[in-house]
Amino acid sequence: MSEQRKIKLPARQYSIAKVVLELKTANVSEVARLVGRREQDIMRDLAELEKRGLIRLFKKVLYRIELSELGRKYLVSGLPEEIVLRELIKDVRVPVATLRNIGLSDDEFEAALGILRRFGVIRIQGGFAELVSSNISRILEYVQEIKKELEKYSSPTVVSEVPDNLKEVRRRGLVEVGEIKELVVEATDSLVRDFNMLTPVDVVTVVTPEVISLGNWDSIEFKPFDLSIEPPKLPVARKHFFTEVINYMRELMISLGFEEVKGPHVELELWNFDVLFVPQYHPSRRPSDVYILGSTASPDPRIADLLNSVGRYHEEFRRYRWDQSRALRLVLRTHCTAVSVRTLWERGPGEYRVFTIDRVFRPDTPDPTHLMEFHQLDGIIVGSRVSFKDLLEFFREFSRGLGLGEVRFKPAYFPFTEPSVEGYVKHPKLGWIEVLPGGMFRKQVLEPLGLKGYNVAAWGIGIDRVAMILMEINDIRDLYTDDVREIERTPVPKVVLSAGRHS
Amino acid sequence: MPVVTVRPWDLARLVGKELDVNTLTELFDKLKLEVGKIESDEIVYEAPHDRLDLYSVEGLARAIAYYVGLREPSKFEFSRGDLSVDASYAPSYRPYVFMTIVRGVKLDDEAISQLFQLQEKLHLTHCGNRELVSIGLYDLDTVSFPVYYREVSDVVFTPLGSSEAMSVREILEKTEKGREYRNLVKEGHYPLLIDSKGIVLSLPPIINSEETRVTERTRNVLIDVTGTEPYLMASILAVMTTSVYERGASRVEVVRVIGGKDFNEDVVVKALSGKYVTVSLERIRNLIGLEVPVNDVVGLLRGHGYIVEHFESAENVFNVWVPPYRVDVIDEDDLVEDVAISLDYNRIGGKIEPPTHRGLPHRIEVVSRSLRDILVGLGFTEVVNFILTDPDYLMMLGFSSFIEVENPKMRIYSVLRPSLLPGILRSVSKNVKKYDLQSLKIFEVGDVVDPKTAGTRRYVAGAIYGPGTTLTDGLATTRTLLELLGFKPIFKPAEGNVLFISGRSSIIEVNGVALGVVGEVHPRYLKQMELSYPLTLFEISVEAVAEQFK
Repeated sequence: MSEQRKIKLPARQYSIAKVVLELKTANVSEVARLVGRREQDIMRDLAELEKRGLIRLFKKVLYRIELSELGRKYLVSGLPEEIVLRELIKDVRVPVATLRNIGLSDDEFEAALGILRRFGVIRIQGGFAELVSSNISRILEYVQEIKKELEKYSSPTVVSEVPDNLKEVRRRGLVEVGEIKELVVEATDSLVRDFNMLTPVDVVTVVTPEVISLGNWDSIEFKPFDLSIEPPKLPVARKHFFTEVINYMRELMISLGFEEVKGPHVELELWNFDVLFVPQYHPSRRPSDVYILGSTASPDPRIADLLNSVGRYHEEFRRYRWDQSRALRLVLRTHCTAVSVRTLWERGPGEYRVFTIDRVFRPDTPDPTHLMEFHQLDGIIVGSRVSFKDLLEFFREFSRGLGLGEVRFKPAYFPFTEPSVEGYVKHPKLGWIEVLPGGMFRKQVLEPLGLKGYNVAAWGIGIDRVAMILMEINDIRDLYTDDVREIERTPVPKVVLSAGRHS
Repeated sequence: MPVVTVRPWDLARLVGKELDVNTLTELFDKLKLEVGKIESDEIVYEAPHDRLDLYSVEGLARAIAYYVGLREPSKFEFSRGDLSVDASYAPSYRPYVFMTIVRGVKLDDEAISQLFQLQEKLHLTHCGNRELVSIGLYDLDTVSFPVYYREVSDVVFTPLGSSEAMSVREILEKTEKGREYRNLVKEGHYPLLIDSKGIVLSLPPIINSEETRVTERTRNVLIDVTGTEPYLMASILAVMTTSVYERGASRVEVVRVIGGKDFNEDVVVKALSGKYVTVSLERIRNLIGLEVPVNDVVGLLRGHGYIVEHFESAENVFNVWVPPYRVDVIDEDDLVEDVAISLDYNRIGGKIEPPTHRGLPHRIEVVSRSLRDILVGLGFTEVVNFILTDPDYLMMLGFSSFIEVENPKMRIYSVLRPSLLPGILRSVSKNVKKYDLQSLKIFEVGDVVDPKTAGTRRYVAGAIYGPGTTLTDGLATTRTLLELLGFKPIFKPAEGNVLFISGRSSIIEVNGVALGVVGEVHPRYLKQMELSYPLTLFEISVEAVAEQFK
């Protein structure tokens, strides 16, 4: 039974296991050499073999012993004390000056004399060195001992412990000892026991056409992935997140039965202000509050009647002299309500709902909360029975659709609506903030447009502010970024992802 | 909108009761006042543009007293007086003058500063910074009637706040008000209010005289308005008069206007009489959208100082008297709003009427969305730029035709982009420099303003940047884009666009209609924009694409 049990091992791991089994204990470098791989290439295999309990890995400190430059020199030329001794043996009494000239450096010579003195084989007197022959055998033994050690380490040697008899040569600086931290592999008992059950198989890292056509996939091993390694990030092309939020709002409006309309950015004051019953002396019409283009449109015959009746309403109800040429001046629209009243003029009485999401302009210097150009979502609900209640309910529905929660209402004032309202939603940090202004268009707005007897609920929401809340952005300028990294990195807006959830 | 400061003790004195912060906050909401602060020594709020009567504590106290039921609405009592102002020689450029007298007031420092606050806020807002209307307050007992409103070439008097007499010229040069408002008077034709003893009341619309100033000892106040808009003047005078009246007055008289052009004190009498507005129960219900009980309406209106004079039960119509200071009330719908406010907006709700049509996106947005989807699929990232842009940059790129605003705040946002290409070129340059990019593909779908018609046009533009980029990359992109929309584009050589290298740009045509351009940007602009590799740009009219679907 047990012989039939096979343990599949990647081929490379199998050959490593085989080497380790033979050597019992070996350095990783040696194992690598024997399996014909670089050390770093087999580290992962070793880790996996250890995980399987087939080998043990541990760190070991080894010592590398090799001759120093001096040691190598002495091995050839003999030790300095040996050279001096040789001279003395030749000629028992030698002048020190002569000895100084036998080719040793001053340091070597002094050291040689020191050693010879220590062994008591030399006496120096009156400028002469004299051999004391009675002690000669001890020094010869010492020199032999040293030379034996030098021979032993003539090629670098790695040992697990520094031997005691290395002390003297080490002290004299003839050898150098370096520490090596080695990773050592050791065969475990289970490797010894189970080796016969191991079967080498091919490891597949990438599925190739050959692998697919193989058929016998049991004979190969698919390399498992290490999921603790962070996968790389990919470059991506994206839609702009602000476009996504605007599109979401568009979809929300459509789902509530609204039809989208559009109007021009360059607008007559007529549509931006006069039709909306904003008196010509009103502060919102000052050059500090509206971009003026410095040109006037020639009166279009199609709006001649409208101009007349708008003027009449201003003069009758606002009690001032209305100037037609002022109404024909061109400005950059300050709100999309201009589009709403244009639509009322084009479509006239009826039951309908329209909206527009577009840019508006007001003279401002960009900062975190102001821009000279931003977006509004304007809409109208038109009908003979449309009421203020419908407007408030629309705001509640719109807020729910964006996940903004409960709406609180306060009375407000706009020159073109009555009643007028400001809706507040709760911001997690800022508290209640105004985002939903609206009202019922005044008769003085509707009647000149030909909507006598109709009610129109109207609003103009500054959606940049809403988008900032939804995106958790604190600087309005960040909505208009052209920074590709920012655009590519910003997650899909939460509001877009939460679509389809009932709130 | 005007910011108004009042004292809590003064407010309590006029209301007849101290109110806690919560009650005040709630009342301020109902009155459309935005609370700045409510503290023990000071209340600051922003008043809405239309409620002129709330620009000082007198009107605020009156509105609160009605709303909490501490005061019953009553009609404003006044009479036509015998005293007169002679406007025979009034300056032709500021021809009108009206006056009222409020007798028996008790004024202290705070009361005087409140009345001046009201005067100042009215001047700054509805009076067109004194151009349309100028208001003056005087101690009546320093003035001898009749008073003359006339044009003079010069006069010498002591202006308010000064210790010495000055000529008009000196006043216009030396005093702060003189310098601020001298553009409103014509040299040598100065408007003057002067009494029968030769005492100057004021040099409207510049400054009053020191001699006639209102002090704590003033018991009878004379109020004047001068200007160019008689109805507006009468409304302002009504607000001023009714507010001064709140300071314990016993009697109000309208001063006769003698020799006035076109208008006399009748306009003031009419303004002070208030007006009658009829509102039907049906309109209240129709506009608010609730079945408001008929019996509630009278009470709800009283809370705003209105008096229901008559109820026509057969037709459910209320005939309502509107106080003279409520100059914001134009028609019945203004009364409906006050009913709705009393009902509390937060309690108004119910089922919204279902839509009668299905919702629809705009055609341009439908096509824009498909273009975005395809371009993202082709590896382009969407950027957003402003419509307002920099004329110097446009001209550098060879664009000479675009619309300019007359009053820009910054030159770099002073013209309307005639094309998306300059913006997308700059976005390429910014990103390449910021991130040291070797290649980049971006696009923008946005509106431009046609310099010829000033009309808004929707375009899509894209950029392909990087080593080896040629016109072919642009042709391949636009071809793929248009083929996926069901078109067979034809590319024809384009000439004359200095942005592109000659012979390396093309017009994109579909069914014989030119939809856009594609071209390799000339190295002179690449160098200018610090780009080291070739850049191909394209721009296609979304409207022209949408047209093709018809």
